[in-house]
Amino acid sequence: MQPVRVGMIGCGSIAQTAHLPAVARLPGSVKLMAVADVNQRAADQAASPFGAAVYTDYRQLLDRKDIEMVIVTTPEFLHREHVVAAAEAGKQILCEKPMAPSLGDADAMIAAAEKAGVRLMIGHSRRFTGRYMEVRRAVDAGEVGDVQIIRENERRSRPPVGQQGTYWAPSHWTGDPKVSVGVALTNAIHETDLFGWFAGADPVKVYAEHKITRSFGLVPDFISITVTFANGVVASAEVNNFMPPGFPAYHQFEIYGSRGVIRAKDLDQQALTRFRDQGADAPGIFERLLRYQDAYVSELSQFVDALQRNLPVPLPAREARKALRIALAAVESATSGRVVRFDEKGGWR
Amino acid sequence: MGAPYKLGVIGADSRTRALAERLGPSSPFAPGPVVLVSWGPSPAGNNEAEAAAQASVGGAWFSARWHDVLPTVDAIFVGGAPEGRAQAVLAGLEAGKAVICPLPLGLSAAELDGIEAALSRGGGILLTPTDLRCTLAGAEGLRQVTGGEIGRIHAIFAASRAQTPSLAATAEDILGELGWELVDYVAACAGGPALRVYAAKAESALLLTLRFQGDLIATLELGKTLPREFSAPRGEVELDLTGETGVIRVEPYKHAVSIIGSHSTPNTERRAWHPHPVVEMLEELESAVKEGRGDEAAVGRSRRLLALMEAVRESLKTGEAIRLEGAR
Repeated sequence: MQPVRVGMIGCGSIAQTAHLPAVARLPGSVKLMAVADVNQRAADQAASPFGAAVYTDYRQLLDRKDIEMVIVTTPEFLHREHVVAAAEAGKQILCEKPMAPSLGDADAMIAAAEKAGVRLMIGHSRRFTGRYMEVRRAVDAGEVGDVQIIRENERRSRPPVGQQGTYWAPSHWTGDPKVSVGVALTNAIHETDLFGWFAGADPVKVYAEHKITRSFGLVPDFISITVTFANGVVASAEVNNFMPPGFPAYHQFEIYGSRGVIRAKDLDQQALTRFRDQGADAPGIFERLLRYQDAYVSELSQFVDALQRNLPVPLPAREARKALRIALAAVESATSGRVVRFDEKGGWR
Repeated sequence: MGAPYKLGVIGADSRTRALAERLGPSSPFAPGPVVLVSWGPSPAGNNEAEAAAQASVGGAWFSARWHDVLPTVDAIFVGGAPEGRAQAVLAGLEAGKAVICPLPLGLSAAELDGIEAALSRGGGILLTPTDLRCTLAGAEGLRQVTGGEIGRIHAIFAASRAQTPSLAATAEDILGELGWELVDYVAACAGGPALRVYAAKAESALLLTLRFQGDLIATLELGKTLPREFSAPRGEVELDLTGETGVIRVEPYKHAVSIIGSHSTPNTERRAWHPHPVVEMLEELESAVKEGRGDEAAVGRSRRLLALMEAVRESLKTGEAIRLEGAR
């Protein structure tokens, strides 16, 4: 089977650290034909190892008939424009998370893809890590019974004193309140996606508290979220981005079920332990959760496989919309100080 | 220890039994007569308490009515069911005794009013410790936080977990067993008053979110969720206290010693973490008796804690976030 011919729109940090390395590791499955970024230097740097064409206008990339699929790695406030245009150009689309900054944008993206008959998948990379795939398998196999509680802590370091770093700085889009709501979409969208994935039911209500910890910050970089689902599952996460400089990315994930517990902690010697009626065991050492390059390879590989075998994509856009809905409702809750309840129309009140 | 004083131990729960075990004749705390009293409705409870007293504390004597023994002791340790503690505390203070009562001190504002009034009349001295505050890790974590060693506290994650009960746990079960200590500790770390409280109930757990003055956000997990196979005799407590300049992780019950035998002769032996919090409690009591003064903030702290717990209940009842007095 011939490799799928790919274009990449956006050559920023997530492209450089995650998606381009994934493309490089799948030479038999994908071939990078072109990249596009308004930053010519970033585009040149991304294209060079692949001998790909460079555009500073993504529309030129989409005009190429030989490109079958695009990977959209631009900031989320540009996703609607890029995804809708790609769908209208008939491209298959893998779009980096978060899906969009609003449900209106997300719905427009879904509608465009459905109208054009192309696949749209949102890259929630956690679902493709070895650790969460093992948790999924164990839950599906009934090894801990019915899921009752889902908990996760996600922690990232802050820059050294006197430095602003990249993320959250007002000069970076993630820290600009005109285009970013902050932590809810930058990190916590992972948690809201995992909540829905493991709860297996519609959310009923959400409560959240958030705050800005950086002295120069303009958008929240901390959030605590609690979601109650229709089947009684309660999910809770604390996501912070102000651990001491140098603190490794840390994740602590727990599922409490009717017959057992699954825990996965970074920094522990044994990163995944399972307690069941039969006793405790450690089915594998998964080291750090964020073996993200493997996850991005798996994500891309599964998407391409779905294209080539004409199968549904593993993470449809409508599934990603659910995570977005919870995350945005959490922002509403944290901003208003009230519990936000979800409605039956796919929004909240 | 200085001159022996006479200590009465009221209640026959696990904490008071742990205390009794440390009050034998060879104990440095051996103060004289030790009284174990159980006011549980079951005669078996009394018998059990008496047996524990006889077995563990030489010379201890037992009474089923703690009122009878108050005149004979200098100090009382009040354990047992939370519903009866305020009554014993009040009686102890009115008799001019030194009283140590792990939280909860009282379950209503009226009970705390009575205790405060007794204290203001100059009767006795009062201490309200908790197991968590009296563990090595818990005490050190609180000392560092209140001492400003990691700067202003931004966030707290706190979890307290116990083994899954055979019957479904109610919110009150969970709050009663796990809530008081953890909420007290988090509030102590926060320093300022709580502004907003939200609580959600899962099958056997409560998930709490507390926002305190000073922009501190605390996320709490109270769960009777540990499988019975999970080796944690004292349950499991973990706290991450994240401040401006550092993070403190408190896991007070991870200091257990496990001695695992060879595969040919499996004989795993688990020893309790050391020292037991009641040792620290007794040391605090000894100091208080010597100095003739207790914890002057005890009732105020209990009032704030009571208000927080009431807010948790109200949130569970209404499904809403509860704003507390003093909230902006």
